[in-house]
Amino acid sequence: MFIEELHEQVIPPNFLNSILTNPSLYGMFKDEFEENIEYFQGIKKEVYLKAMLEFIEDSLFSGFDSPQAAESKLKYMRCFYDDFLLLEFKKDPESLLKTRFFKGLVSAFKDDAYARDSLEFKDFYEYVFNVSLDYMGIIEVLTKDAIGNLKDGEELGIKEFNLMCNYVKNNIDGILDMDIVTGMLKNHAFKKNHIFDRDVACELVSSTIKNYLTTFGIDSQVIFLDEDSEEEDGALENVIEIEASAIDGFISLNYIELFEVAFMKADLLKDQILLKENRVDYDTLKVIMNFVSFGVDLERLFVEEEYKPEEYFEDLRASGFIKALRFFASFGVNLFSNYVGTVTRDIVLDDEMTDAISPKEICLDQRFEKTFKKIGNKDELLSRFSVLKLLFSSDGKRKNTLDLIKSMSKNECNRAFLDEYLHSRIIDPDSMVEDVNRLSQYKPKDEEIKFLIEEELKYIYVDSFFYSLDSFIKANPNMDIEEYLDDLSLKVNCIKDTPLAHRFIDEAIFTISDVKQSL
Amino acid sequence: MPIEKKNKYPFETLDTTTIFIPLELLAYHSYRLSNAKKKSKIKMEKKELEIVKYYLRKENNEK
Repeated sequence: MFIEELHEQVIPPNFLNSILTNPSLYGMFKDEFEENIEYFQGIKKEVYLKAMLEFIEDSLFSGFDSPQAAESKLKYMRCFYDDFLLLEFKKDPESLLKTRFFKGLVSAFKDDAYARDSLEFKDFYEYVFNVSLDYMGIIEVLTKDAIGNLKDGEELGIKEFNLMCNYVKNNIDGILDMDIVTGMLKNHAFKKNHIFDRDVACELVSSTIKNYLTTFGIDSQVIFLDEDSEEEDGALENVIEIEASAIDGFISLNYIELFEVAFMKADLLKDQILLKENRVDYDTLKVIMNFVSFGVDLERLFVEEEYKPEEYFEDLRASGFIKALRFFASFGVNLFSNYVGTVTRDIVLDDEMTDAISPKEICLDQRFEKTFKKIGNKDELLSRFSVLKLLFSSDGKRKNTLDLIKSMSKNECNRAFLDEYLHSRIIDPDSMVEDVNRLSQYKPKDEEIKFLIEEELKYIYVDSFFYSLDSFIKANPNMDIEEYLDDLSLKVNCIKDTPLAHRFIDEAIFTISDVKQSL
Repeated sequence: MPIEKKNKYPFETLDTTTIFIPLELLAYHSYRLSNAKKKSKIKMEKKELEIVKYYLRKENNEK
């Protein structure tokens, strides 16, 4: 905004500060600039205005050092706002999206203790956002069409795209709706003239990670660190730090490197928080099972900086990469072929290459069980994690399905977790028959429990199908898969269009493709 | 206290605690290999090598 000039002259910050803080100098700048052009070194007034705005934006982000500093800054900000900035906004409403001024005000309001406690600051904040302008109303009108197009999956014209880039980097919410994030990434990937600058890329990655972590009920902050960035003072919680240099690849369309690191760090934070909060939910159970199956020492992890269990971190890296690919695939940007394609050129099939990250061909529950059985002192784990206590009896054995269903009626809080757990696990074949017998014989009066038992019996039926299909295919490696699937689809018809049918088909297809590949 | 959990869109498919499909593993190893300075240092499990060979065979047959 104001003026864009090539070869701009640099005005020393202390001179800008003097103009803004010295009332008579400011008056001269405002009203008698042309008469004193020599004093102002022959530089255009518009250039001064642009530099002053940047100076003010920076000072909002750098914080107020004392109540006195807050008072002085507010004084010149208000003058500058009324005398120049507001007029510019009224002349060109789109310029509201081109400045960091509003974002800086919100940042100071949230994070700066002196600003927060200052009545004058609150008054100025209210004046800027609601009295002098209807900020939110104007932004809504400006972005309505572009956001509507992004949500409808349509491509943006260059003008709309640039407007949205300004909206993204200067938005005051600190987190963007995922429809906007994915829409912008898709436009960037498919339209060669649609280019991001670093700030846009940072906002999109940061919003992705923040939104991803909220699906686990975790509030987080993402910070991009330059080489010369000062270390955080530790006051901030749940912070993910990413090296700012990682943005370089992103700008040149190498999305994976940055997202891989971002997802990896997000998962590390998620694992740490879920473990610490000791919640009774399925996400926490998966984290604990993952740690146990990788043999991670939970006493040392997150406490000893040098303790980096190799398998867990290797899995985390692979997960970060795969998550990045899956994330882009979710909005139609398929990056798999980029990586799979290179393998035919580069890979050297050397049989000496052995042993690294394991393919997860068996489910987490079973991987966990394998390691858990060998643990000597199970008491420690069971007493430490509420979610394990719910699934295991004190002797370290799994509670049977009927006991789990009975315990659901006792505690309302555990109900959602157990429901999700029972519907997501693949039951151990050894306990299948025993479970079916118990569940079939139990005749509860409670209608809800009766319904749960019927559901569970159906799921066990699906799991039994999974195991029988698995062994059937292994025993008949040369059978015609297409023919078998035709037959299967007839059988599936009887439970068509229910979640059960989808699980049934998913498991069948997974088993068939897995077996085909290992042939 | 944990904050309220939000809608999972578009993260529904990101749970990697259960399985990696072979195509993903292949992509990952290919990526690792292309980033590695000394390719001979890359280690793979036998099963993974089988997957890679399967894809290479498939690709050659298609050609």
